[in-house]
Amino acid sequence: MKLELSAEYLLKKLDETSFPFKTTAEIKPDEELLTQSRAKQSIEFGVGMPFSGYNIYALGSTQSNKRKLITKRLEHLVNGEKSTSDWCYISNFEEPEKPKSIKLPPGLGRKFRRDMQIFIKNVRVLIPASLSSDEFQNQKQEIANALQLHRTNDATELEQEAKNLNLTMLPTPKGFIFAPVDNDKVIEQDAYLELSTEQRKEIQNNIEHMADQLQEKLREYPKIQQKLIEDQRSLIQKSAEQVISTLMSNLHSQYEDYTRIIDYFAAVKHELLENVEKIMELDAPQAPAQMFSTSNSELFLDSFNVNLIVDSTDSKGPPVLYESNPSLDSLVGKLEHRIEFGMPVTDFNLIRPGALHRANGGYLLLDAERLLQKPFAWDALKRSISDQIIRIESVSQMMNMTYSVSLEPEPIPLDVKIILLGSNYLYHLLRNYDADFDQLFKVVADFDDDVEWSPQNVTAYTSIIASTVKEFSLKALDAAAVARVIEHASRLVADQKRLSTHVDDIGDLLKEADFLATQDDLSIIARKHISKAIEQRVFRLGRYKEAVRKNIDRGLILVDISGTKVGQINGLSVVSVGQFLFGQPMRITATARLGRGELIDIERESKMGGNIHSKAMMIVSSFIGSRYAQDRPLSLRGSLVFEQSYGGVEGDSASIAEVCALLSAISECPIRQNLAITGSMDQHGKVQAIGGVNDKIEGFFDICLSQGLTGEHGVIIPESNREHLMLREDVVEAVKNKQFHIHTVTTIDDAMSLLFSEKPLSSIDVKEVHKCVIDRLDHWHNIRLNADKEAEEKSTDIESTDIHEND
Amino acid sequence: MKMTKQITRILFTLECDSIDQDAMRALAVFSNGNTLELTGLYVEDQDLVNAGQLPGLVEISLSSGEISKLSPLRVNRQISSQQKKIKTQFEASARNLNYNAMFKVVKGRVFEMLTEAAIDSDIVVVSRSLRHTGMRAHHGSRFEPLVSQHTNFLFINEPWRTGECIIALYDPAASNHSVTLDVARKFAEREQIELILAVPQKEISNLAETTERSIALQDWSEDSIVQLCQFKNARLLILPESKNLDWRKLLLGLIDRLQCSLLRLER
Repeated sequence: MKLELSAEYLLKKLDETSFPFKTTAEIKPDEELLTQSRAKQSIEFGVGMPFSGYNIYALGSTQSNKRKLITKRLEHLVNGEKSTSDWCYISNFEEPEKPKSIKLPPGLGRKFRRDMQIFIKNVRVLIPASLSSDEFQNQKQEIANALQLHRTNDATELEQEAKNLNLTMLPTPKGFIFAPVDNDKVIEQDAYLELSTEQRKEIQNNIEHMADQLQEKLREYPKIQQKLIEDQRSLIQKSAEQVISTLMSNLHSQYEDYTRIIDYFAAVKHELLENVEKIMELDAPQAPAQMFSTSNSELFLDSFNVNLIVDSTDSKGPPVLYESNPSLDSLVGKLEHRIEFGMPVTDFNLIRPGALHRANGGYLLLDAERLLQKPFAWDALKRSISDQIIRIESVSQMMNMTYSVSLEPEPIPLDVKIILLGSNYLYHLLRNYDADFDQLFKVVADFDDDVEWSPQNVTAYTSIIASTVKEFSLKALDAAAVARVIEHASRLVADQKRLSTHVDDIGDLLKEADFLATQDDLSIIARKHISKAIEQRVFRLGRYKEAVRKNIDRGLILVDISGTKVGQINGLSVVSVGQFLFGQPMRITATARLGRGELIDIERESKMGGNIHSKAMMIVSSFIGSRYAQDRPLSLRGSLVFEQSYGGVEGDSASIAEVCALLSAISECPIRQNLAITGSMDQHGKVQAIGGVNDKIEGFFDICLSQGLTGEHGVIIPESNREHLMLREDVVEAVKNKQFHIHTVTTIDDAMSLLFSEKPLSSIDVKEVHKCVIDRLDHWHNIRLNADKEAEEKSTDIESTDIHEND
Repeated sequence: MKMTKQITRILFTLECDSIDQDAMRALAVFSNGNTLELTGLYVEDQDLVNAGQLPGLVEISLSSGEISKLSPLRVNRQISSQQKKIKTQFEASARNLNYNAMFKVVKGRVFEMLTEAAIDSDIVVVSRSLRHTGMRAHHGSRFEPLVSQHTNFLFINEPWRTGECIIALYDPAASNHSVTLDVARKFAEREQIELILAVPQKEISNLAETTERSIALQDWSEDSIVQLCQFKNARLLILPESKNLDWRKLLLGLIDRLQCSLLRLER
């Protein structure tokens, strides 16, 4: 069945009067979302599955705004659920390189941190105060006095005992000597020598005795000194313990339900008591060298900080996060360093959380491509999901290249749903090349590139437009402009029943239209601004398209758009230049001669044809064979080519054109050149839909327009493509004015009846063409039969001659 | 308030391991615009020299307790080495502090020489080596001649920079009460630490004229004063010339037991 389409079929317009608003300023943004029921159900399934591995891979174009859709959906799903936990890192005093983690209910982490800050602040003030108290100082002095008294008594005793033995105790630069005296003066040598041997012996014995006495006392001093230190230390600890216990008693009652915190308090107490002197040093004057660095005592107090890495105080439910830079550090967290004396050092206060920490208990959205581009990030993510823990590791640790002492923070249990946003291509790559992928991402949410053009989705679109306007502070759109945007969304997917989900594209269009409205000094974006923005996009990218058109006009690229030709037809192709697609008519020619059923595809022979095109040529060959060689061999050798094609040919959309060109070549019936045709076909000659129908029609229209529309120009397209028509308004206008014609066909015969018509805008009975084809094929068949017979006879003669000669 | 007699001639005894430069610097409070004349007195102890010549004497090391034989050579070498070291330190410190300084070596018995040299000095500064921190080399009673001489003296005990306040015994009846108070204030101002007046309980009502912090003491016994100094972690205790007490006994006791430095202003 063939049909010429009237203008109303060529562009689906949206009636702006149906909108309940005059401008987008009246619309509440972000209220509605485009319906993607399959993806939506997949997300809900993935979110609902409580088992591990049911993470989600969201398939679809990056422009389809999957992230926003999923985020909104997740926020809706988690609405009303409990917030997740707070997470802190605290010092591990026994193994400082292994900080401990603590999980707390939302809000308690902040309180715990604050309580510890106050506690340490109080310790810093109250312990020195306690140790400066009169009571403490008295006790300390009592201990010190005891030693001093001991020494004084020793000295007095020794001096007295020496005196009793007529000796004196004299200091030397290094110690003491005992010397005999007479009248309080040391005996001179001469006097000493005059003493009897017994007297000198007695003096020597006395000196030895005193030396022994002194030695004995000196031997006791280190022990006494040690005891003094221990007694004073014990006194300090006792006083400090009273302060700490008093301060902690309140904390204990507040955190009695949290065993880890209670254990931590015990460790804090022990650590403080072991290091009271560091607290006392805090307010002591610093040596000049220390003034430029953090003192050990300050660092000591830092070890009682609470590093609150996840604070859920203000959260209203499980977190739904998107990490735009999914590097290793951003995912699993990192250890920062400070420089001390030129060396990087770290401690648990410098642990920084990653996205997995922040999203723990909720949902984390990641861009798959970015994730895979970041070194070690994918491995770290997989390990975290698989082990269900977050382990903070640096690149050097992952490569076993850590040379300096670092931290090994206690891993945190992980309970998160990962939603990877990625393309189909990446999905299949991961499935094929990563053995873990299927186990870790069991749910696929497949996002369409288009959605149904339904009232609901039109409403959603208006909401998206309003949202974009608000987000980028654009001018409001009037209702007609909104309608034009939605029509463009339909054109983007070339379907009167669908709308594109590539809302990023729409966002760009709105910004460009806003720019044009500003140039017009208008406060509202009108329909004309949208149309102009679209035209300008085409214009900006259209240099090559324009060059092709000019070359056709100048006859450098041969495309006939008038008259008739045997074995030549105007096919329609789509040329891709980067992101820009445009239609271009191509001259397809065919030749036919006597042969043995060969159909030569010159594109394939020259290795310029793609696989689909080759397949289409085989279908064409099969169609010709089945239609015209049912009861005789096909004595045909035909060849087909896309003339002046230098970049390769792919696709099957020229199948009908090729069949018609070939039949024209066989039958020598001419084809109308003011028509162009596109469409694929099956082996029975049934015409099938093709892609890029709008671009193709517009491509031929532009050439005709350039060379002058005669009212006889037109294109033939498959009937099944009718609902894909979203043509430019100028094309529609030309059709309306009978300047251009668009025909739909369902069979090859429908197409032939239009193409082989002698008169423009009319059709013929294709039987005549078929008859011509059959007559020509019969003619070739007869020639071939005669030729084969002659050849056979010649062959027999030669054989009998050979026999005679052998005889 | 002015001092009744200027202190300009300072005798610095030098039987010590090292010069406490902080203490030497603190003496500037006495200058009152005048140039201080500092005499560093090193006494080559005759008793020690004599002892070195006696056979069979031994030296007991204070740090290790080891016993080694004494000989004249050993004693002379120790004295000579110590003298050289102290002289260098003393002269360098005095030069740094811009004092007029003279280093003097005398031979004789330490306390006799000290007492004799004190006659021509306004104040005697006893550096702490004569009062060994580990074990006292000389019992307080050895200083009796000096104390009896009614000389101004300063015993430097702990390193000068330790201690957090200056304590002055407040006795309005003392003949040099105002001088003592003036010196105490100057020390406190110079050292930038607190001045605390230790006041007898009965005198507490007469304290209206002072702005300093005061602490009432039940009595001025040796025990009370030592306790107060230790409790307040004093850097220096200043005693006036009081007629109310047995100063000689009190001073000798304090020399024995005080941890902080002690300044006695007698005239």
